Amino acid sequence: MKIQRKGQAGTMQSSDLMVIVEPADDLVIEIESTVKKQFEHLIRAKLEQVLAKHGTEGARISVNDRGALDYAIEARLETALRRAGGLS
Amino acid sequence: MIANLIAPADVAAARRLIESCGLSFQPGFNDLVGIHEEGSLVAVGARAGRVLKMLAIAPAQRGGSLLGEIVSGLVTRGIEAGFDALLVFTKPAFACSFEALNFTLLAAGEKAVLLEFGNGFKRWLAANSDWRRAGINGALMLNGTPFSPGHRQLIETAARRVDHLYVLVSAEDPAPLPFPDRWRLVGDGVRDMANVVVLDLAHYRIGAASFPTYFLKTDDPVAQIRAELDATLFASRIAPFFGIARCFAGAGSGADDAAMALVLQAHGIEVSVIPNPDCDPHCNPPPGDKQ
Repeated sequence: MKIQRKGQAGTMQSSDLMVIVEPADDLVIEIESTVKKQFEHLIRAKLEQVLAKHGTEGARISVNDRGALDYAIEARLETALRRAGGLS
Repeated sequence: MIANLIAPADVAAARRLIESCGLSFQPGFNDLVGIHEEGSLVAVGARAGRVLKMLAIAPAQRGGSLLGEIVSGLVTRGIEAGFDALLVFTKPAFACSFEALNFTLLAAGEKAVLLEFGNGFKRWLAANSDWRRAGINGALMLNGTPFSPGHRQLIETAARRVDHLYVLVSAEDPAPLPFPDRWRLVGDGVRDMANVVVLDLAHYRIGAASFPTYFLKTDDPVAQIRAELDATLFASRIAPFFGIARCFAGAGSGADDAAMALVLQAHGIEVSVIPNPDCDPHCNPPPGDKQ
């Protein structure tokens, strides 16, 4: 689904992440993480899986992660997508 | 739980906490938020536009999650207010606390550091990458006065000495004219000069209006500290991207301009003063201003 407006979810607390979703021409994922070196590819894979599940396109996904686990990544991203009007 | 501090009693408590942490309370903010524990305020922070300031945690509560909670609350409010990236100016000793929250260090001075949350600076560079030019390039900062024949002469002289000349402007400059008008005037003024590019530094020019002083002592040379931080950001992050190896200044520089010239030179940027008797007294050396 197309993203209609800016949406965000999450916090900067340890073991959490903050996700910001904005309308964009292409699907872009930006990841900042305290464990970027070790886990960026896994965070990206999880984000891509959730985005594919919801058919998200035309969005910039900015993630600030502080060591969140998979289920937190999924929940925060889905909440941000919903707030951005990108979830039916 | 983060609470907005609005009632006079809450604001007074925030002021006490900020001052007890060796900081000063600086009015002028969009949000002031705090966290209470057992009835007393243990953490506060404020946001003025895109700038976070007056972040203070009670000494007994440090090292925990309070800073993250306060910053989360302020960043959330800032993004809702339409800012895609948030800046924080603070003491060098606190840089690592913010880096742990995924802030990026943009510039570090002796008494002040600038960090950013979000990829605003990277995006600004990307948005201006069409203006990159090969060669030995120069830069000249124009401040807020209407574009005058003196400016034009200064730009002509500078442009002859480099492959490309960036004329730097920013809405952060102290100026009597609104920025869109200045942008248009400068653009019109140099349109016929093939090797001149007008570049909007946006908020990556550290102006006096947005530079918070809450973390400085009353006898600190505020204007110099800001000027040095501004020059550091320019010399270490902006100049290399645009191949700027030389900065031009109009004649008649003040003390802060001298401090900035030292920073620029320390980063390998040559500083040339253009003697020009006809020059408008408001022609400024890059990338600072006069206080």
